[in-house]
Amino acid sequence: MPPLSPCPRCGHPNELASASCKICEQPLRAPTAFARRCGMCGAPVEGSQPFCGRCGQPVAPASPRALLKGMPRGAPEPAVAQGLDRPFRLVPMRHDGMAGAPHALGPEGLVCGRTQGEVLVPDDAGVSPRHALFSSRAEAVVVEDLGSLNGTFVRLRAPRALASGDEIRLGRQRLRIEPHPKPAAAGARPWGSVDPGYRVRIVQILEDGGTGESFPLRAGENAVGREAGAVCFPLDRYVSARHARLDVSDTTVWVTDLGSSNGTFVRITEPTTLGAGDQVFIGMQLLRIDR
Amino acid sequence: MLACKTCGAAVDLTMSACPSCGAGVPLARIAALIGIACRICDAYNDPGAEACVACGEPLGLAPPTGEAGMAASAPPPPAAQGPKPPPIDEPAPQPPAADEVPVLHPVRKAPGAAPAARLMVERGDAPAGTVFRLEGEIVPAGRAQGPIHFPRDTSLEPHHATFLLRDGAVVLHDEQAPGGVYVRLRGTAAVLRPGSQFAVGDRLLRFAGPLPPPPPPPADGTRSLGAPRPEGRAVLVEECLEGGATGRVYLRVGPSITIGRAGCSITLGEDPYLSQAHAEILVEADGSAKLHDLGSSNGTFVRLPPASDRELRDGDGLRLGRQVLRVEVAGP
Repeated sequence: MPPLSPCPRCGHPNELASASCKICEQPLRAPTAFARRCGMCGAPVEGSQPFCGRCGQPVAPASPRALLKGMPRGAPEPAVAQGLDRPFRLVPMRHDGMAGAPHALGPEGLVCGRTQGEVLVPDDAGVSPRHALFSSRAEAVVVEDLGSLNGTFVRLRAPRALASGDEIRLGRQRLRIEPHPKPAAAGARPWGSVDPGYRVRIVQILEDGGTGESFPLRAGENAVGREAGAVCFPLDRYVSARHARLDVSDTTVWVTDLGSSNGTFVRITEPTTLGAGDQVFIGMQLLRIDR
Repeated sequence: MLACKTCGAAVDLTMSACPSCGAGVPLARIAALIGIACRICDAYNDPGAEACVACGEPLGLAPPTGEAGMAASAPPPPAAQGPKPPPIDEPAPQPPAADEVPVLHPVRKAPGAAPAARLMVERGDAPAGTVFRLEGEIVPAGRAQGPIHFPRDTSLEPHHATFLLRDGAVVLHDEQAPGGVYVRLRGTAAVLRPGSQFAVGDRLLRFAGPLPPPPPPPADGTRSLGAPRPEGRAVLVEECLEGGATGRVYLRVGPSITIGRAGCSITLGEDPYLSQAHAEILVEADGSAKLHDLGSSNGTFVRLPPASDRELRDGDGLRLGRQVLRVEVAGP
């Protein structure tokens, strides 16, 4: 495991070498590292490098004055403290991964939908006309599903317990957790494959409705991924090789994301409290909570 | 049907030489490499076999010529070495219909003659090699009744199936037990209909049919999200668990869906009785499907329709619950 450093804005543990937070894209390097800029193209030049990394132009060594200019005045404040007085913002993520225009969140809330509300997603047929309500209450954001067809999903940041009927999304897959059907116990048990003690099953939901594959799971750890495991999607390139883990006990299923590239999302069944850095998936639209 | 290049007489793949003029049939070379299907019973025979391993009929009409000499140099199949039962007099062998399992031979005209038949246990509760003799006209089999009973196999009904010995033939009758009766595929393909069950190794699968079309979209124009629907001949295949519950459900796209222990479209994992590539489902453009055995060691078994009769031939494999049996029928 490489050394981790928490993001000053959202607290996500990032690798030390990361230039920006994986979750909220907060730049992680100290501002002094970018105190110099290339005189030709304006790209930031790191440390005491003699040449610009973008255009190759020689860069003069930083003068002490320039270093001072790049540094914040006074003692550097922690970024979390900086954000406390700012309102939360709802940032739609574009499909190229860049942030779109943010919407400021207040206590009155913002409705996100395809045809109605303040945050419109007109091109996404997977979003219901009125899909979800985001409101800012006392240092947190509350998201509520407005009875949408496809549901509102929140990216998993810590292991979570799921019950029968809960849904998760990963890659292009939408999966529902169901109890394993118990056969009728009367009379002779017809011959069949040996049941190794299945407890729950994971049902794949297909686009336009209907179900596809079904994966019965035993108690214990079950891997979910593209390459191997009890729940395997070899053709879905948006699923990481080892994406998530499902720990099955008698009644509950704990889902853990294993550092997947595109994340594991859980459908909310009640108003859910979110913080800065949380991501919400409605239709094919990803939204980020920022401040 | 092929025609002889020299004299124009009708020849077929199992002939190594033209029956009319004696000229060699070129495709016999292929038959010598890939094997021969018997014209009488459609059973597959290894290259070089001269008599069918299933029915004993000779495979070619002409004596081996120079080209068949290549076939004769191949090692003969082990089944052809032992003493064969005398060929059963078969007045009019009917080729099986193209898309159906040949269910029955024409009933033989040998009134009153009961064949000497017995069942041999291949694996199950009794030790392998245990023999049950089929004596009498009606022989019930099951968990509790009759001369053929397996008291410890709880997957069997008390009266699970019946063997009928009449007119020189052995007929298996399904008694509509929930577990059903399975007969091993021999050489031919079985037609799969939605709900058809078949066994490979110690695993039971059900062909659930083509993927159903999606339900009508909701009125507000929202599209239901989910995994992309596969294009083409997508079918569902389910694993059936002991007791009747459904296990893993596979969504696969035809035309060819292989089933086996490793590296197949439906990979079932470790099972000592499962071959690496065991069986194959072929899906046609109209959604109909057929099941082939891919030369597996332990065979592919297809469930008989409830309450149906099936005539058994010497060497047929059966599965009743956990019991895998082989039928041995001697001539009358």
